[in-house]
Amino acid sequence: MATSTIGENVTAVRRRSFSESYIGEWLTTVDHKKIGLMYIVTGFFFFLVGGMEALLIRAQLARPNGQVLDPNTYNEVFTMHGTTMIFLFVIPVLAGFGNYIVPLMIGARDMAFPRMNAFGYWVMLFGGVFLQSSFLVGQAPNGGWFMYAPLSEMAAGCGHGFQCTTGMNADFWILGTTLLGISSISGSLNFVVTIFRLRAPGMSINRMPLFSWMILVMSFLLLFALPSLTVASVLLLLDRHAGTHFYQYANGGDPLLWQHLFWSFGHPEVYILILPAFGIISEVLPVFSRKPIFGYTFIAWSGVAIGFLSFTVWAHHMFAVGLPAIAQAFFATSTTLIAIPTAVKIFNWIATVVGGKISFKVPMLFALGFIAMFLIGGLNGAALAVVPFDYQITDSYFVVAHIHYVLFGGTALGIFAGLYYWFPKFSGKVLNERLGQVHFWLTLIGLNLTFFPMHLLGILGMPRRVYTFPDSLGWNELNLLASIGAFIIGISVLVFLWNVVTTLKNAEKASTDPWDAFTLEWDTSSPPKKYNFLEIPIVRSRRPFYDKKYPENADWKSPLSVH
Amino acid sequence: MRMPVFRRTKRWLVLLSCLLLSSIILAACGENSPSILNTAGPVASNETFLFWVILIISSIVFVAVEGALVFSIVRYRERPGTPNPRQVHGNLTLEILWTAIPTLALFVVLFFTIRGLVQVSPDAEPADANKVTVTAIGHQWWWEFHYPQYNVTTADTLHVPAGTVIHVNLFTNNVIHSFWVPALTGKTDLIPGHNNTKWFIANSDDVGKTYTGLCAEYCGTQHANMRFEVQVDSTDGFQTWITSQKQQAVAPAAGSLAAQGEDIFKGAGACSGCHGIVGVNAQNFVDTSVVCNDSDPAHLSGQDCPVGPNLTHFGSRHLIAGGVLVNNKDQCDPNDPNLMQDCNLAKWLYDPGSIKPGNDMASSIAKGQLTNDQIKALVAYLESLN
Amino acid sequence: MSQEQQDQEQIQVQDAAAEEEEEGRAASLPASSNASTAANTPASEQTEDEPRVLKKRVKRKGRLVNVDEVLPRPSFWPVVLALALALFCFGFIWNKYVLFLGLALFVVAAIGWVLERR
Repeated sequence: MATSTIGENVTAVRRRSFSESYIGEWLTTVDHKKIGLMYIVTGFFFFLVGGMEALLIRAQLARPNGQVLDPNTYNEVFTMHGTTMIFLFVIPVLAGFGNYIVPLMIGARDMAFPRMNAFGYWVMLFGGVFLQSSFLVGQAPNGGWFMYAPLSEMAAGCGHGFQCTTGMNADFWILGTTLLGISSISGSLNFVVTIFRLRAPGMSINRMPLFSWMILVMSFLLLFALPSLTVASVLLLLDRHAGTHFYQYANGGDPLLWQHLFWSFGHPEVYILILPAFGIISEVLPVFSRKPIFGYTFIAWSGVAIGFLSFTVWAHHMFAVGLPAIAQAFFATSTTLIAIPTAVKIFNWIATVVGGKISFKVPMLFALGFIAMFLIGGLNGAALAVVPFDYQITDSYFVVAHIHYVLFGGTALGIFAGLYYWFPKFSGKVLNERLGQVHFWLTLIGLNLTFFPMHLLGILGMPRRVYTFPDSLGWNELNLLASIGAFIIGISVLVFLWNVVTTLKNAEKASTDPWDAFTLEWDTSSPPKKYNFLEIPIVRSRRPFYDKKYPENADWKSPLSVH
Repeated sequence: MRMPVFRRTKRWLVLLSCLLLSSIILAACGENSPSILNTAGPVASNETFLFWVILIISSIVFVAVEGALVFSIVRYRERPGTPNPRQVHGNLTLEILWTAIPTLALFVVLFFTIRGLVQVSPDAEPADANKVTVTAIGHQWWWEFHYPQYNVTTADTLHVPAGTVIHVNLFTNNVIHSFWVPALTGKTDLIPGHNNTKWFIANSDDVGKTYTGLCAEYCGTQHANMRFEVQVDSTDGFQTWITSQKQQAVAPAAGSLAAQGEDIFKGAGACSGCHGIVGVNAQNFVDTSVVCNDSDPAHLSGQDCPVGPNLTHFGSRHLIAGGVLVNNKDQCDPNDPNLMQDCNLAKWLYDPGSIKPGNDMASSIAKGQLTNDQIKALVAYLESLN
Repeated sequence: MSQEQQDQEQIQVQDAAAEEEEEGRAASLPASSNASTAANTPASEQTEDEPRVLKKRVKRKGRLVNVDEVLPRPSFWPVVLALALALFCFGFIWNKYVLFLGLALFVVAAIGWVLERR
């Protein structure tokens, strides 16, 4: 490493010509920051795709007997909306934040495996293109993002009287999610090794910023949850094309096997989607309250507790399948338990704000909005754990309301908080405050207008995944409200895009530390140099950059802090 | 900077509360909704009771936590000259306190959950000498109901006697469906190879009422149009209905329009390929959950295991086409010149694919394949089958 | 910025020995003594080799090296390998020739990845 021979310089020169061209540079990069940006931009592109799919859904359901989409197209669109948002928006964008920010936060020069990192990104991109290309051949997946067997089967006896998936629709989904799984596995391994091995001197695991903590937990969850999905998918692929009968009861298989395998991935998955957002919030709240995070240890370890418990709650998606009462009681209990660490986090966030000096910059608005909305998602989630009540509202629009309060009111607001917060790091420019406020309020109003009525629709008996509804059942007005809200969210996203474009074009260069932040990623230039830190910093507390800027108040001098 | 933010917060709060109020008012308008709040039996009442429990607890938590959040946002906003806050890192007592309080609240909920779970589980089904057993069979995309005690099969409408325990066997040999009558009972899935059961009771003072039932598990193209209804009869009314349903089909008068309809029905490759009528092309009602017990393709067609619903007493049914259309008999006079516009059955026979795209009948009958005369004859025949 | 410019830049690199030296320096400050013992787990693996630590402590704490020496070089094999996987999947849906093309490309990319000099 230390010596450089003439031969090496020659190869470097030759390669430079390839990677110097604009496209070549992005194609061949192994720089965690470039890869992180590509993840975020790609993920956001798929957010727009998934958003268009959502608007199609809401356009179809705005009025009873809607004629916007035919039933089969509607089923494809709602399947792809879920699949896109989960696998192609949330996971990539969070992986992008992780890629960009984690090495900077922990004082590393790059991820542990830079090429595998690049590989993970490209597999994700091609997997996404592969999945969406199914629309071009008119065979988009149409079995729901949960792809229940035997509807997704291509079995003997399929056809008259038993309509399953005879086209390639389900194969697109199986192969596409497997590709995305490969991407997530390589990304997660990389995060785990990076976080365990490449921390700056002095940054012990309990001084690590909470975002890195949550990325670590997320990575472990992905590593342990994804194999279950891969196994389920491969078995389904074999059923469909190799004549096996894993999910075909007529031949000795069991359709419930799919549900158990799928949800033992699917529930950790939900926490995979929300934990990094918890991390973002735990970074943003202290900075804009001018206080350290309240109860660092509790927030970090409640994340770990959620991670462990998330593997024990999968069958709460299956209360209606007729499990024995004792099994249902077990899963009701584990679901109750997992709510406790989540509640602890919310209290700690509020306590972080209390006693602070709150500045209402846009990242903070989104972070506060996150707490307010995620609380609703938590409460209606707890309602779903009440098994007998769950019999009534599972698979109704109430569940749609719940998942969107968690994933839109939670994760998406968290992602926006992160985008506004770290945008100066990515680009050197601060996003426009005024447009950001418009974006925030439109999002908040739009999301409540869209998703709150869905609670009521569920209570009024509207099932999920219906492409139409008759006008006689009293669901008309609430559906119209929800559709109006969805289009308001659509407008808010346009405002955000406009903000990004005009900021990049017109805004002046900001300082490297516009928020007076606490963590190491701000102790670099914006955007950071390829090597991140000229000199790897030495960490003495949980807020190394704060210590550096305010040496007289440094955390490691304070008797109050654990450092 | 800070003032506009707060004026907007207030405006937003007003907006949000207007939204909440208006949606509740709108919700009240939905009188015909299959709402889980208008319960008509003990099982659903148990389940809905838990809704009120969790609603009260969540409302308290919601107000307390959102209140704390809003209060601290307002109280601790940055004002000119605010000093830097004290750098507080945590407090163990508080942490223990706010771990314990939600734990307690959640365990209160858990107590109600498990109590309710035991009350409505299949094991809790009360003994009842008059218990009526029904096999609910999920097809793509319609419901068939077989009464094994009486050997009667019907579709789209489940008749039940009031005040009696109804034991439901849930059967499907295709994909997964879910049986849901919000007013009477929550969901249980129909899963191939799993003998799920459930039970419910319709209140005895609700005789004559009907309740909407829905398929609640995504089951393919027409999942949205897989509804049924539960008709609550008096005990005597139920027996009368059963007696009439046990009869063979009424034979039409020779030479009448209905007799022509019967001939069309019986024709080779026509309706009788998928539908059975007892006394015409079938000997008996069959319990498809017994005869179609595997998904051997040979079983899925023909007389043994008809693909479509049994039509023996078609004229007496309230719903047709998998619960999508009302059987408006009064509009179905074959001599009515507006038959094709007004009569739902005629519309269904003319183009089943536009009413329910993708259904099996649409793959047999293309739009306009039946002439208007054939449709008239079939309408006359089918509506005569009381 | 162009590659040329980056190559000009010299960054300070700490190898394992330098980190140990760092630890020794920090330990001399009383206020942070507990901090440095709690931390630095990766480096502490090597502290068992006591004599070496003592020897390195007198060394300079870092040295200036070229960017390209510490940071991995760009490589196009990751994108090729990913493309191979995608072609494999497209081939599964559409055309078996594409599937075999994907397989072949996968082998080529894997070999290329392994053999490329870092």
